[in-house]
Amino acid sequence: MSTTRRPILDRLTQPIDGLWLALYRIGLGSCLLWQMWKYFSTDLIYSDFIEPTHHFTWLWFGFVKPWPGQGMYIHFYVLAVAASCILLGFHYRLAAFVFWLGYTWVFLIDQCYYLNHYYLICLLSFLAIFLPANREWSVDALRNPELRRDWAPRWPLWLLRYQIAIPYVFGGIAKVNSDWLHGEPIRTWLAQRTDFPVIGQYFTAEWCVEIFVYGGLLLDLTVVPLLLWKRTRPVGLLLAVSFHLLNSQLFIIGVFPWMMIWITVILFVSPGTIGLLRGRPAVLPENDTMPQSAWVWRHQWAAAILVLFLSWQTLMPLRHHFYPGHTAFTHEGHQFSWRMKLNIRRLTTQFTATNPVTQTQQPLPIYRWISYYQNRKIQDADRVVQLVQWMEHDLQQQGDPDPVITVDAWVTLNGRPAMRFIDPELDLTQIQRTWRPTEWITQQPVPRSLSDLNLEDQHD
Amino acid sequence: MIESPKRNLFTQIAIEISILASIALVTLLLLNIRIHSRQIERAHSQVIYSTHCDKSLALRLTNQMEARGLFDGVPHLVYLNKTDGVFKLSILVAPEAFYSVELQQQLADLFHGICQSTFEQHPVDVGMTDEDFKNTRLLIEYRPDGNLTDTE
Repeated sequence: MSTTRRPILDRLTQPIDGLWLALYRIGLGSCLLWQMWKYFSTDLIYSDFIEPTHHFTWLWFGFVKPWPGQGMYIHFYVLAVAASCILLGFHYRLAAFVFWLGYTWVFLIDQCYYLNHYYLICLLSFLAIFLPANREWSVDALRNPELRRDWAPRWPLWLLRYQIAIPYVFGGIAKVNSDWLHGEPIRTWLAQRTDFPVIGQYFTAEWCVEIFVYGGLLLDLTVVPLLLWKRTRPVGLLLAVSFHLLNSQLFIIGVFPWMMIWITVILFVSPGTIGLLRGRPAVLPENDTMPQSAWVWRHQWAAAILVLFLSWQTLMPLRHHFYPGHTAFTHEGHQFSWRMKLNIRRLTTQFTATNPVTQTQQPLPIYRWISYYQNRKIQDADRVVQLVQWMEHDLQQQGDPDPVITVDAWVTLNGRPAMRFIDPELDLTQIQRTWRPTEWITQQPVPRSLSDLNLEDQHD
Repeated sequence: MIESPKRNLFTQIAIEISILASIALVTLLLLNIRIHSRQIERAHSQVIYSTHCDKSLALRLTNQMEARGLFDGVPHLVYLNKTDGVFKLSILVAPEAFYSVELQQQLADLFHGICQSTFEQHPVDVGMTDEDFKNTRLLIEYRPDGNLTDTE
């Protein structure tokens, strides 16, 4: 039977050179270890998880909290050891599971620390649990000859390709919006980096802004097909690597561009070509398909979990279509959707408590409850509601049993004048958290593009 | 020699623990070494970021701070932002650094002076220095509209 006519299952279980998978594991482990080092070296562990007295939990995950005392340092140290074990391939699957569980715990502690590349780390470490990535160049293979083999089934390659394609594709689709096509926020960001070597002097020129705008858009939308088609693969690799190198220098995004460079190269260079690094021909099994009888129950379960996982990955970035209003303004459905580098957005708030009996008012300085960084990251209605709940609780402890809390909240978005975000008369203590559309966000029309601005209309 | 299965199990566990301990030790050394070098790096660095296109304000501020020996040898980071027409000078000082009201006033005067010569004469709001910052941060705002009401 010709290769192209094989059923999908046969194609996915077909053995191919497996060295790429070992290199993928080594690269992923190195990046995870680097990420853990970053937490220690900048002491984010203290400033993010120990110092703040309150954390903005994710809906349904309120039970995820930082460990008391020095527990978070121990937690991150365990994660660093797990990352080292992934890198070295020592009890690889257990290490991947520990890392995924521990890192996802950290990720879920506080919404304010959400970053798309942290989310990607959660996803990749989850997928790592399922990959047979310790069959070569690993401590496990060194100690257990039965584990050793030069090949891997084809499915891990396509699983990871699909996962990596999702951020590119949805990132590109998200860029097809009025602000991006009018040059924001790229124009503002480039103007901040006119000190960039050699090309920085051109960053304030409109032609340069347009190159970044349309270049970024086209790259996100076309890089996956370019990488998948053999004839255009070298061009795709060159574009992807250049794009991430530029990102690493232009923006402070840590390990993300380096991780993406490594993964893109490993996943899209032919496994046979990568296998040449072994220095000898790979020993592949004689029978090049996995018989149906070899499918034990755990394979079936793993396949079902992965299909569900990929379906969820495909649908999650589309959910913002079910929320009314402008996503960039409401921020609903913005996260977990690969809507990257789209906005310079700031929500400014001034909370006031009113005693309903005496009608006395007092401003509520938010730094009593949250850190400077958390304040910068209050972006959506859910975090406002959580903050109000803490304020209400403390006011009740101080003898005000039923305070009315209102907020003067304004959003600035990509250079537009501030727009009111919440009705200033609304008593926020009556609001409950929900995953449903937030009806009490001001549904004023957001100017469709920067050229539509009418400054007089927007100012109070 | 034939070993008992029990001994084999213990030997196996000992080997596993030894390898894990070695990996854990190397990881710990790696993290510690980096923390140390990062601290040294931070002690000698002063970073200015300006989200405003005009870098002259940031550069002049850096020069003046250096000339006056402010934060000399003390780890710190300086951020200068402009949001909604409000200049914000944020100085992140390492927790162990010396911090005083005098130093705060010096910085405010310096920032005010530079803003004054750059723009029109307007007040500078020295704020956000309450206990929440735990003596690690100072945030000074320059408000061109003269309004000192805190919007945070």
